[in-house]
Amino acid sequence: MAVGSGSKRKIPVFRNLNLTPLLDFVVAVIPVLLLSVNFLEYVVLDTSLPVYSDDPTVELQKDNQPKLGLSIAITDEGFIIAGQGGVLSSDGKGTIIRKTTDGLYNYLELVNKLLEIKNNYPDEWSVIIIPEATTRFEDIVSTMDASREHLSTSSRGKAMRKVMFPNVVLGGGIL
Amino acid sequence: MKKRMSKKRMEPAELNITALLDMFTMLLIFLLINYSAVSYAIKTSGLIDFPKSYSEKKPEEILNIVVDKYNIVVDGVVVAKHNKGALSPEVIDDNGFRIIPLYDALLRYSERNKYISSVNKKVVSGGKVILQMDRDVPFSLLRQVMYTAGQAEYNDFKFIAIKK
Repeated sequence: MAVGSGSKRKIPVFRNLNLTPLLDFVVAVIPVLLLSVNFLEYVVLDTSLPVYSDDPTVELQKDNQPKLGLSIAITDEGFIIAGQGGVLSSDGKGTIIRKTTDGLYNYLELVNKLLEIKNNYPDEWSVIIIPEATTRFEDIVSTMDASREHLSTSSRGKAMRKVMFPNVVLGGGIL
Repeated sequence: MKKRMSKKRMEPAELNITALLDMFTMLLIFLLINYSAVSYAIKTSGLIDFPKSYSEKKPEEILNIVVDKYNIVVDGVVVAKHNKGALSPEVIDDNGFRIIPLYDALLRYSERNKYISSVNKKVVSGGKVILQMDRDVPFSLLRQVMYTAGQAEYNDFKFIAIKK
């Protein structure tokens, strides 16, 4: 008897799943996420004003080697790389990096030159950037980027970063 | 026959929302990927085009000096105006470097920070300042802004850029 009554029970068939509550949830979440999304990622570059000191001992490093005192001047003609405490190239050439024929600064050559200097002076971490009064802020930031680290890709295609001169000081008659 | 027709019309229509839900799900995934949990967001105006940089360092919540295409702004208040990097002589002091209204504004913040750090030891007045500058601003104006900030005991500068 019981079996007979059970077999008569109708099994409900769902033709369409009710997605309305899920849709409500998604519609509520999307505005929250839209407010939190950063489509542009902002980063910062550290710099400081030059420090003046009368004490001559601050110019010496731990091993009593003079500091290189590397500086990059950004001029209308290009970059001029100079060092107070060392010779940057044996022939005296190669310290001026002229603009390309398009009138743009040659950052690639600047990076290569700085990498060469870094290999010769591995304990040197500072660079003074000396722009002209008319130098655009974008060119200063790009020069800072070029001097801070060298970006390359390995043979396996992996991105590699070599820190060169991370302590950037902006000079140019500020103090 | 007429009765049958009217009964058919009364049946509730079923809207197929599956396609809409598919689209929303994809949008949700995209937004979740780009979601940023950083508590500090840079507030910008349309008057500033940032330079681009390979730097990886994230900004922190400190005092902001904004130099857009026309104005110098400190924490949301315009303190001086410039024309392609040139300031009017009234706002510059005799040595040609210090921007007087900017210096006054920064000095107020510096003194307020000193007072807060004297009361609350957890707050350190580190002399740090974020510089948001338009990419076309000449170095002459940047030098004046940095010199003025240095005079007001803000010596540690952080330039804002967009990540390449």
